[in-house]
Amino acid sequence: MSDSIQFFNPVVLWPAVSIGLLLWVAFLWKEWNQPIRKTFFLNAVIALLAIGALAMLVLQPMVLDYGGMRIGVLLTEGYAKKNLDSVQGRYANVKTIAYTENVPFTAALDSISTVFILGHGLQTFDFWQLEGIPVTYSGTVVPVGVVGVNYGNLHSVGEEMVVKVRYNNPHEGHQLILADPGGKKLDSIPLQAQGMAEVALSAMLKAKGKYVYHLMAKDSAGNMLMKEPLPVVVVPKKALRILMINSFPTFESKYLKNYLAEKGHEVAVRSQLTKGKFKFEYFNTARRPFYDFSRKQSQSLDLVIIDANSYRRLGKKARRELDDAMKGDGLGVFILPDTELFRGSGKVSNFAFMGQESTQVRLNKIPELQYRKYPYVFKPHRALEIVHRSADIPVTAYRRNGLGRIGTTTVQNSHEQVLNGNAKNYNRFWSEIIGKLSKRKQAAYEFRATTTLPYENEPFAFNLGTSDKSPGVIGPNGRIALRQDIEMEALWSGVTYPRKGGWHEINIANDSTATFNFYVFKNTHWRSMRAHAAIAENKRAFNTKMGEIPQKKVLRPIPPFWFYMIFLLGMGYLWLAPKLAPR
Amino acid sequence: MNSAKNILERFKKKWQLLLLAAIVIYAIGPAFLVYVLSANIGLFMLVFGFFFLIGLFITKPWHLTLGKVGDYIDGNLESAEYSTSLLLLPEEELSSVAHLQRYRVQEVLKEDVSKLRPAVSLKSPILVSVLFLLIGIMAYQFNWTLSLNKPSNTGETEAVIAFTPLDTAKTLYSPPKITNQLVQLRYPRYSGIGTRSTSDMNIKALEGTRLSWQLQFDAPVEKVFFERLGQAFEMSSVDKGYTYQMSLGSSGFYNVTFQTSQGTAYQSELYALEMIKDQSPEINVQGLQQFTSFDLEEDNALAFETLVEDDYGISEVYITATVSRGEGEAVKFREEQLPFEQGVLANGTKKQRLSKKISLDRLGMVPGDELYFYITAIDNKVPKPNRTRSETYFAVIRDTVQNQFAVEGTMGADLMPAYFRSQRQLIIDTEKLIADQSKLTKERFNYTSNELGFDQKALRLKYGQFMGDESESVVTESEETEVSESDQHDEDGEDPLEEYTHDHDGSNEHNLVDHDHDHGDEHVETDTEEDPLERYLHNHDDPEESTLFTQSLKSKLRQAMAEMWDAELYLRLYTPEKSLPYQYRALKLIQEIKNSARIYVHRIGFDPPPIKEDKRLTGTLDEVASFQKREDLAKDQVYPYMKQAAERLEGLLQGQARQESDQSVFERAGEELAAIAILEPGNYLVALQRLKWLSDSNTAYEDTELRMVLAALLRAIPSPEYEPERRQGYQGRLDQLFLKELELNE
Repeated sequence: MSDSIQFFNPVVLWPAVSIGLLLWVAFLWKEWNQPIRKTFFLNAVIALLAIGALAMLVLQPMVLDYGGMRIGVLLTEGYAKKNLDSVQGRYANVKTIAYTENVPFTAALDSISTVFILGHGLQTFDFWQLEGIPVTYSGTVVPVGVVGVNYGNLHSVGEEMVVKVRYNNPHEGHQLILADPGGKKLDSIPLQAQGMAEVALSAMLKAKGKYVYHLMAKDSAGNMLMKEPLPVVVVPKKALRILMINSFPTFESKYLKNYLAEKGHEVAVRSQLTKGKFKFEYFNTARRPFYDFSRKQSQSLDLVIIDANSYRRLGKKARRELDDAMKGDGLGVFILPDTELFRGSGKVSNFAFMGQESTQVRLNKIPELQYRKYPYVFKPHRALEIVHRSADIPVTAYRRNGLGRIGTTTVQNSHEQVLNGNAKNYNRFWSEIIGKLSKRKQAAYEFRATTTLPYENEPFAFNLGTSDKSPGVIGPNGRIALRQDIEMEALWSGVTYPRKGGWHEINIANDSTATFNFYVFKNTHWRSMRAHAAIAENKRAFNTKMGEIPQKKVLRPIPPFWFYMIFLLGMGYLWLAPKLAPR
Repeated sequence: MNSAKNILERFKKKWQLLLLAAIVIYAIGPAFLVYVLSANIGLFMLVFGFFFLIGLFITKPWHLTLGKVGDYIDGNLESAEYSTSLLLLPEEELSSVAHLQRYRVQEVLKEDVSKLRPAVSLKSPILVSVLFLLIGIMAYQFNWTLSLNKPSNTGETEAVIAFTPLDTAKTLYSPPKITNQLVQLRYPRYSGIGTRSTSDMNIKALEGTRLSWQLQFDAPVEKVFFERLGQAFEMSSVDKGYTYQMSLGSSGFYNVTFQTSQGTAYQSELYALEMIKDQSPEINVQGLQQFTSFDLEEDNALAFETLVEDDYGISEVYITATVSRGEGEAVKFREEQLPFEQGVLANGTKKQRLSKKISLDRLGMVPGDELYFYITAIDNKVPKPNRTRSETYFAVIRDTVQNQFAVEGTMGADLMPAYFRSQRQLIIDTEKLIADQSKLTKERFNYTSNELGFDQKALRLKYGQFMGDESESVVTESEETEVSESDQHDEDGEDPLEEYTHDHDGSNEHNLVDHDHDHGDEHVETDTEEDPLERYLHNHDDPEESTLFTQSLKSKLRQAMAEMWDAELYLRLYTPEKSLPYQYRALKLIQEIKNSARIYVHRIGFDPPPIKEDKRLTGTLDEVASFQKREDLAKDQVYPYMKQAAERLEGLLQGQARQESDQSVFERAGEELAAIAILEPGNYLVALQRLKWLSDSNTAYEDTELRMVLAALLRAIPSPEYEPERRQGYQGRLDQLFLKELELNE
């Protein structure tokens, strides 16, 4: 019995059975005392049936069967009616369930043996609701519009923000526009009719602050197709502390020195006059004579620009100290080259070169200008990291040395660009080198968002890297509980649920300088990108091919209607039969 | 009978009224249309009256007679049995049958006349009017208006100064409104424009225009201020209104603020104040080459036309002519101002075509003279008129005399005859004479020798000029005559030597004595008696001493002249051999004088200090010292407040609350933007106005406004330059391990 039949209210089984029996016995006794006993047995059976039905109404028996099992179709945003029709055409017993983000639908899933998802799919945070049920998702057409945006959302003033956009299925004549927070067009690009357009837009960031730029698409008539926010945090530039060492003054070092000093960096220059005598120049910084390298002294420096001659002549101790400062503190070293450097062995300079005839070079980043170069090129090496390249050939490169970096270039007399009136390109050339090589400011905390598109009322997950033993983190809704990575003790992760769109901050409880800004989108933002991401996630999480639909037995209560009918008929007979009987 | 006639009369009245109604309806249609187009009630009345009168004259309702009415009733009312005319006849004239009929008709008419309508249809006039109405409504919908009324209609409503309260708490009272605003522009008198007035608050006017604002409010206000360039000037109250006057001296912006008696302050938008500068006149000379030359025989006249233009009027145009005569040091200038033929037509004309014919003869020019002239035009601006000068033109009368020399100039050497021979030439000629002595007759020899003596004298006198020896030149005259006499004497064979012998003291001949004494000596020779004190005075102020040369030069020259004296003497004595040594000495002295007058310029270049041989290559660096220098070269940030304001605006757009400091940030950003806006008011004026609102008032703002200001600010901030920066990085334990591993495997 327990195998095949179960009761919904097994608690009341024995009371129900005993009361039923009692009732029947009372009925039998009453019937026995009747003068006419012709119908006694019939009545007894009918009464038993009626009382049994009454008991069943209370007990609600259930049976295990296949009959009620159905196929569920989860309709998510963007499903095609055609697909639903084809599912319904194939299977008889189809139940459709409408999906709304963040609304549980588990109640609708009982008696469902398998689920098809139509449309863009579920959001990742709703996946748990389908646990234990075989799910099939075969994907759908990717919606028209922006399906991917790649840009840095943290920049410094004066940097160029480059926004790479993947636009699915554009029409001829559509154009993408990058607009500033005031809505003014900064850059635009027309789209060709093709499957997937990949374009890049750029804009100069002029002032610090938290801004929301916009990416807009317009059709050929100028109607706005979409306008999506691009949040950017622009931080002010931080000055560098640079030491320049020259064995004799050159124009190259003079122009470099002037450029850096004018940009407000703290520059100290030491030029050798004669043996043991130096000329010291200090720009934007206090006097601090510098005679020989010591790790302690160079701790306050971000970059050392040293000419090749001086570098070669460094004493053993000085070289060791410099090396330690690079490895341990992350000091950057740039060697202003001379011909000797290229000829020398790799040991001295950390770089190996080979001869090349040409003395002119065009950089990939600045193709309109020719630079003069030494007739040498870098020998390829896997540790070489490239700052400037011309076609595939490295022009300026550096290597890591512990935390620090050491680099040089094959370009010579770059100051000629200033003399030719191309100061802008000169600035760009050197700002790239110096920016790459300089010591990084070591942050105590590093946040990284793992939710790429945070929406309001949805989880926002992030990682925190810190050496802090027990970091306290305060999010928009108060303190956030962090989970430490099981293998890396310096890696933590957390989740918060921003309730409003716009900028939010995550702060470290005991360090007010470490602040992580993130922008929460409204539900109407970036629909096509969100759909594209959901499609990919769903494809990854669920079967994409339809398999055998497994049959599953499910306990189902027998509808109480039948018991009620039996009871009613039985009672009706018992009441009516004596009245109709011929006396 | 009266009643019978009355029926007809009434019917006639009704007819006439209907006619009038039709005319009125006809006339209303076009009149309405005109009203819609022009929004002018006067025009409406006019058109209505016009059409009404036309209608009257066409239909002529007063011509309707009872007879006509009767005929009409007979024709249209069967029951009248064509007997209506009986009603009009006098009763006495009717027969008894007629009486009966008349009575019958009268009764019938009493009943039936109301069924009959006069032959006037109102349908077509109503149709026509409705058509006009429809056109009128369409015209209104699509904003067609007659252009003639535009200025008086639209201008006023748009330009009324809009004030915003500066205080949110007190906006409950309805703010006072401007009932009358007027700017009077009194242009400078010279411009001839006079006074204009406008209600447009953006003003563009000529430099120096007097501007006067007049504002009237519908409610009493406490104080009204005129704000410009950050300064507030109280407007003076003049019967009911407020007025402020200023003279336009520069472009800029202004706004008006006022305070009510409750202390609420209101501020207007910013308005532009644009100054137009009076341009300098333009001169365009036609029909004249920059350089003209005339031959002597030609008609020496220059004719040309000048077109002078100015934006507000020319007051004066004239030619400044300069005649130069002579060459080199002897050049003389004469300047003259010449009027144009017509003069200036009328003071204040904007464009004048003037002609002038300059006759060089009348300027008294002779061949070789040059004429330079240019035209000056002065406009009528006060207090300081603008003046323009044309280019300078040249005219010259060719000097025919000079030309003859030039013709033979093809030979490459100037063959102009020397007026005197140089000392070197004299020596050469003297030597030649000595060499040729045997070939020449004695007479010829003596003659040539004497000639050479004369030349020697001429040379001496020439140098004497440098000494300032005027007396000598006077002597020259007399000597000249004497020379010719002496020539005669020569022929006579007399010896005239003494006369020409300049009796020099041998002692002073070679300048052994100081020049002062030398000088004194000469005076002793000539002026001893005149001034006995002379020899005791050491007189440096002597004008004779003030020559072009220094003292030693002077003595040398004197010495040279003394040598020349002697050389001449011996030439005159026909003994050129004896003369030669003197001549050589004179030549040498002259050469020395010439050389000393030359200025030597040192060749430019590095003049190394003399090398101290004892220190050379010793390698001591004691005196070489390290050198330190400190400088702050960092440049200030440009437009710091505009950048700050941009950040704050974006914050406000993102829903942040306003901060105390915002106002001052916006205000300063406004100052920075204003500097840019003055150059490009079209681009930034509106943004500047909004920024000013934001900086001054606490009133609510709309996102679109903030966005607009933000866009303008971001556009105005210049693009920053490439600049290296300190980057931030994070190095976790894992990264460090990774790097270490990499290094090990290298």
